[in-house]
Amino acid sequence: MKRHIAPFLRPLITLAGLVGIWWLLQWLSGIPSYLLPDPPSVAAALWHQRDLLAWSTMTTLTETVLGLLIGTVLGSICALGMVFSPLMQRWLMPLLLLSQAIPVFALAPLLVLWFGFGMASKVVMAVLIIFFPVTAAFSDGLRRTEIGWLDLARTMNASPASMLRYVRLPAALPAFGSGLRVATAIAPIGAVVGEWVGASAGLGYVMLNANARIETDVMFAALLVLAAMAITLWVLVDRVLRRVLFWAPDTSAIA
Amino acid sequence: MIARCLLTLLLCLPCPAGARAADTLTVILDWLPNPDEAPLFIAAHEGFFARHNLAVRLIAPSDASTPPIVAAAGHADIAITYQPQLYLLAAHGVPLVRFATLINTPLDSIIAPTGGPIKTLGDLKRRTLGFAVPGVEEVLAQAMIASAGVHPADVRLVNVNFQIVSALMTRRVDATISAYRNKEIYELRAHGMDARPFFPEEHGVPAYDELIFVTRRGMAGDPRLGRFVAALQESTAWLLDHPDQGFADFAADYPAQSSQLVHTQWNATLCRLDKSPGLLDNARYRTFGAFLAAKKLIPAAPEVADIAVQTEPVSGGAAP
Amino acid sequence: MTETYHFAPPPGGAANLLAERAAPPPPPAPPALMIDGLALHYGGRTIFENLNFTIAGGEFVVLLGTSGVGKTSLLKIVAGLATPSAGRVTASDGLPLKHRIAYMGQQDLLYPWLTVQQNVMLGSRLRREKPDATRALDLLERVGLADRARALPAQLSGGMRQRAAIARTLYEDRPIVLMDEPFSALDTFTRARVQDLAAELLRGRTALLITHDPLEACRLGHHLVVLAGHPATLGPPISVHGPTPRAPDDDELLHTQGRLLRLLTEQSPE
Repeated sequence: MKRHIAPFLRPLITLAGLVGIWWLLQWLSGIPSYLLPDPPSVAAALWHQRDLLAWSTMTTLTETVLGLLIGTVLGSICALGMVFSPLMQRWLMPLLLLSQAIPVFALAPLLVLWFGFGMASKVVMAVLIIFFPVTAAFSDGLRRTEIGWLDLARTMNASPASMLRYVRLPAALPAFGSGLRVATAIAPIGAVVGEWVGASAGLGYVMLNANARIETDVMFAALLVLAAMAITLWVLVDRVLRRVLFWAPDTSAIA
Repeated sequence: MIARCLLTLLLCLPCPAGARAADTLTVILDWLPNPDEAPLFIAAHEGFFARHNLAVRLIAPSDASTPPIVAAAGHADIAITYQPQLYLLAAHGVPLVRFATLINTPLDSIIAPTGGPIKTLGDLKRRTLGFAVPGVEEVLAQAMIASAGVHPADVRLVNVNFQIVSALMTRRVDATISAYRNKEIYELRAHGMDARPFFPEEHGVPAYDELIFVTRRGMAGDPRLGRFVAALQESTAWLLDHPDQGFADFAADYPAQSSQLVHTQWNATLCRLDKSPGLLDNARYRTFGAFLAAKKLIPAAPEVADIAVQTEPVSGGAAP
Repeated sequence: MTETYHFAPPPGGAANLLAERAAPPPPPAPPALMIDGLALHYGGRTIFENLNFTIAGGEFVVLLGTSGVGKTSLLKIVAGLATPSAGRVTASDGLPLKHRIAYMGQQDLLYPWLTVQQNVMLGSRLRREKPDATRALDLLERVGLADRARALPAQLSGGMRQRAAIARTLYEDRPIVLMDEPFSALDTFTRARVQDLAAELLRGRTALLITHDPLEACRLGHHLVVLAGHPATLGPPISVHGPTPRAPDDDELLHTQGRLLRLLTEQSPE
């Protein structure tokens, strides 16, 4: 029976189950709607504010995707630099750790001051948040190329540039993929935190506004849309990675 | 902003044998300790709470929108919020009532740097206006802009989330609302920037109480509140007569707030304190409710009796 | 005590080629490989010192020894993948060795992101030359993998992967072939078949194979030599007669295998 459930139905069933539990909880406990709205009012808010939510999603999505792209490119360049230049490694490593150690929340007000209240500060926040995972994962992958493959390439008289392009890079792609998956999961956080600190658009901004106006149903609606956006983005990136990494099989099913 | 630690002020006045233990009250402030709440700090420091047999715990929140909800949920007895916010809370069924007023004039204003492009409110057309509290302040700003003949859609509103001074100084916005006439103006001046204020009550907004005390509807008649108001009244009266001593007390308890700038803000605040905090101005509350309903921020103006009560000061009762 | 050993070609020479499959034409005159005074010191220990031996052109020499004695290090030095502490490795014609060596490691070393055919043509890809797809397919046919040309290495069995590695080695078409226990991970039956294939297809090239399996050594090698001791030294070479690959039940082979096994066990520390 389980086998015949289509793959997309399973998350739908889970979602329906969660909504059911939420409704039950709200009804049984009598929590006031300004603390926990019930599913129908959130659904109503989703419908009535659909234009605002759609527009805000575009904003937050753009910030997230831009942050992901720029952060990934920068991170990859840094990883390549660090692997091939011990000097770069020495100078960049502390900066890298710093970018990870300082919580983005603390930097957010500064970034908003420096980059303004528009998209730029949110993109910078997203970049900062994903920079370390991408760089760390990719440089790790580049460093751990199978010795045998490199030896073989050397006996075939490959130049160092060829070794990088045809051996190290493809071999490091699975590690890069893990870094990218983590980055995709956390990039929305950077965008939303940036919006909380100073903005005029986006899902984080809508949530902040709704919270202050005690429109908890709108806040939940924005939260749900944000979750859906983040999940969709992640699934998209995951699918693309799986196609690119067709040769690195998932061995988890093997005992 | 970043989470703040809980602020505890417990009075342990030595009690003569036979006195009752003090009644406790938890108050959530509207923001970090600042001169707006002077009567509370003085009531604690100079013993007015103790004299009325109250042990009052003051908590500073991490953001301004949570205090009323926290009080409504029962985690605190009293919260400080804004009269305009009270109508929003009521419209969403949050069971809070105003029982006393802390500051009975508006403090909010739109400010613009004097050297900048905004010389009148009409100049806001096609410019950027920053604000900190979504909801009510947007309505205030829009009313003020409309009174100058500008369509609110022609002004870009940006949430600067309490970084008002920095936003103005870096010229990210042309003007901001959420600047208090007893606070941000002086801060800007201290940073070498002069600014011109525009007051809501002069530009299309009815006068209102900036800071009020609210409590759960069920607690409205609680005898502790009467004593609270009494202590507050005495503390305010004392403050007006001993402003510098009062600031010295405040600076001693909160050394981070002991600068000359804060002293200036302190002095600018005193004249705005409500000297009869428990008194309710029915007409004012009715008018403002009608104003918000007309601006469609709330569906209908509530009955004043549903959202506000008058509280008589009651003498405390610790044996002297 | 050092001695220099020369390995002479076996009697009968190239006339004993098996006619079953036409092997690719061997290079015109594969050079002899000369190792002079090779020494390796590592971590304060001397792995080996003053090693001298020569592999004549076209010969298949098998190097045996227990684990850890230094066989792989020696092979890597010959392949140019490691630097010796002293000594050098040269070719008899005086030309540099750099572009004349093909290498097979303990694992098949097929790149998992390339198809079998692309793996065979790896050398062209790495040297940025135009790949010769026809020749690659031809070689795959010789090793019996023509129908798997488009498969990924992960889809092949161990034996198939090593056959692909042999095809890759042949594609390089280098006169000197170095192999580091390439068949040790295979099961006995697959191993036997792949050994046959290797012997046929690598015929006529100068080859050095490392193994710890005496049977494999006897089946494939013209001359066998044992590396043993601390520091390691080369024992006297043992010549095996008859064309390769030799039948496993051949009398002389069994006798030689026994000798080897005795030598190896005598020389191992415990």
